[in-house]
Amino acid sequence: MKKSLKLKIIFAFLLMLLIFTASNVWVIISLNSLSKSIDNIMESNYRSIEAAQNMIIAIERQDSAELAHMFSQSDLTVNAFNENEKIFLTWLARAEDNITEEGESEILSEINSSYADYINHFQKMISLDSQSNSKELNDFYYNEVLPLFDKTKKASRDLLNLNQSSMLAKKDFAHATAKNATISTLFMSSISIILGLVVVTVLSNKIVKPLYDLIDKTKKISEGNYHQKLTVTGDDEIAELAKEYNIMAAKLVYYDETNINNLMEEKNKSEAIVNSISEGIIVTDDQYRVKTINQNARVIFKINSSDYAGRHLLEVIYNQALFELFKGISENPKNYYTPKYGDIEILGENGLEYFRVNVSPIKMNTGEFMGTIALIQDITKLMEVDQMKSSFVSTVSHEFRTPLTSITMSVGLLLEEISGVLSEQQRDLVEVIKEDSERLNKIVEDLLDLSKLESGKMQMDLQKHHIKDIFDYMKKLFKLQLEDIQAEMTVTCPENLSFVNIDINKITWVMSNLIGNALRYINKDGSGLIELSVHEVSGKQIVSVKDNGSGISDSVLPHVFDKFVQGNSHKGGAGLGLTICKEIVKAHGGDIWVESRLNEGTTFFFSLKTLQQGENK
Amino acid sequence: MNKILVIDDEVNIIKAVSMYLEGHHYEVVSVLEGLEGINEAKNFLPDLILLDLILPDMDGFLVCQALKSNITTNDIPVVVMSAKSQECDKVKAKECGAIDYIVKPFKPEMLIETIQKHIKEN
Repeated sequence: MKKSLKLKIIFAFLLMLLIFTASNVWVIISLNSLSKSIDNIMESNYRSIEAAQNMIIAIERQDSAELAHMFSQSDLTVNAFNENEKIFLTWLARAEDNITEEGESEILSEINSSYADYINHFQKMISLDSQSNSKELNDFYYNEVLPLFDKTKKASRDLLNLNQSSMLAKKDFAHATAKNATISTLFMSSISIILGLVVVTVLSNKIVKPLYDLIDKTKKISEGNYHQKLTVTGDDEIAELAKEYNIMAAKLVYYDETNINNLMEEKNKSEAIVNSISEGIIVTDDQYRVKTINQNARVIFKINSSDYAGRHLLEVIYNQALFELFKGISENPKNYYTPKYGDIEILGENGLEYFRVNVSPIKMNTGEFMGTIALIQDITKLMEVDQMKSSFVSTVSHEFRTPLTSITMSVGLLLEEISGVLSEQQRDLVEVIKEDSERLNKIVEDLLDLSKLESGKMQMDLQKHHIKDIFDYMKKLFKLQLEDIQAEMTVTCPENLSFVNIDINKITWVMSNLIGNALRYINKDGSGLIELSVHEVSGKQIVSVKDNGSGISDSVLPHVFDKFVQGNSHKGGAGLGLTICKEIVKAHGGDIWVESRLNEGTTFFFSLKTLQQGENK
Repeated sequence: MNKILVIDDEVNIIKAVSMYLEGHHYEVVSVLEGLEGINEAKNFLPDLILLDLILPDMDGFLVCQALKSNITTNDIPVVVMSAKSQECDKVKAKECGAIDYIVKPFKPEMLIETIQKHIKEN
């Protein structure tokens, strides 16, 4: 694999390094030239200046020695003069060794010649002083020697001035050099910064731009749009990545298609299974749009067209009762108030056909409600058998009435001792007969009521009533019984509860039956509590009777509304009460259900439709 | 002593009811068939007739209608006692002229109460 991206980065860094090195070299050169100009000043002028200054001092001392000699000739002054001559010549030799300026050699030769004259004249003055008087000596000094002294001193001063002015000029030059170095360094630095920026920008663009493209396309893939291709340019690492990426995208497309095929196959399989189930199945989504109707359901509801998917359930199957069941699940899928099944009638070829529809919510793994599934079972045969059974029960119960009459009458005769006085034992026995014949009578009445309710022959006298009135009546009705077992009964009823349209006698019967049951199962030690309550939920009133009794075991709970089922067989009753309750509530268009926990208590609920405003009767 | 005619096809009912009513100081005559009942009503002229609806020879409603259409018996109150408890039967019995309707099985006290109520009215 080529590492050209790496090379590019290295190259860029090298380029940067090069620029910085060049800039540094330039700075070094500038500093060097500055140092050279300083050296120059030191070498070419400083020594000459030093020499000139020392020469002036030496010649002045010679002059002083001369003046002293005029007044007192001695070897001391001559020695001083000679001493300083040496010094002068030494400095003069140094100055001559360091001729750097224009005109310097002329000045030096002038010094040389005038100084030689000056020395000669001094020698003359020494030879004069022994024979001439002081006046002559004085004149000689002022006329011959002093002008030479002045001339030499002036020439030495010229040398000093020349070198000083030259030094000043060189100082200015060094300043200029330093200034130039600053400017040029600034310039070089700016150029290198700009170049560096350009290189970095170009390089980062080169690396980042394809990455942006990659990010963009990856996003699209994650959204499910697998047909993505990156353009491959050059042969660097990014191009390599783009190539591999394209291969991956192509594979994803392939997997996707294969998955869809597998899913289709699975879907067909499940559809085949659903269609082969001997019961009808209807599936809707949360908006009542039909998802699936299997073969059997299509036959049951006589759906000929296959174009039902996605249409509203009522559009496909116009059956209000069926729709109500779906609605119940959909409106509150978690709600236990909702019936899980219902029976519907359909007019078939051979008269009325009956179907039991079991509805349940379809939930995702997350618990989210997706829709409703209904299982539709043909219960026509069952209903026929049930009706036969009902009419049989009705007939049999009816037949019990006549013999019961004679038993009751005979027992009455015996107890009233019309036919003779009874012994205490005989009276006890007859009481037993009376009690059980009354119980038998009650069973017969219940059975007949039930068969009437089941066959729809029971007339309902629906009137506008208030549940609270029934509660109040219950408190009165059970007052004595509650006092007997020291139990309490509470009533919870919201202030502005609406009316319900009910047959007051029937609902009162239901209430007293439920309370009667509760009384049988609560503790008789004063801890017994029965709570009556009613509350309104979406157009319904939910009435509940709660007790803190022994509860109903899980095995019995699902069957409490079935005929001849008792929570506890020792507690009397024929086991028809709850079945009748259920039929009465059903006849009111409501539902009844129960919740119970063993040793904690049982709550019976039933619902009644709230009377809508303006629906007064 | 008030006279009661009982028309019922059940021997045991007749036996029990007769004995009970006699115990309460009524004079009781009982028959098992409808036609016989109509005849007996004319002869016996009871203060009240207890009539079953299901009889072997004819319908109890017909018996009631016959009693009510006869000049000698039309004043006698007829109380239907039947195992049929449906509202329509009660309505039909009223239409046929019955004064009251008691559903079997009834309590002995209730029978006495009903009889007393209607005899008092007459």
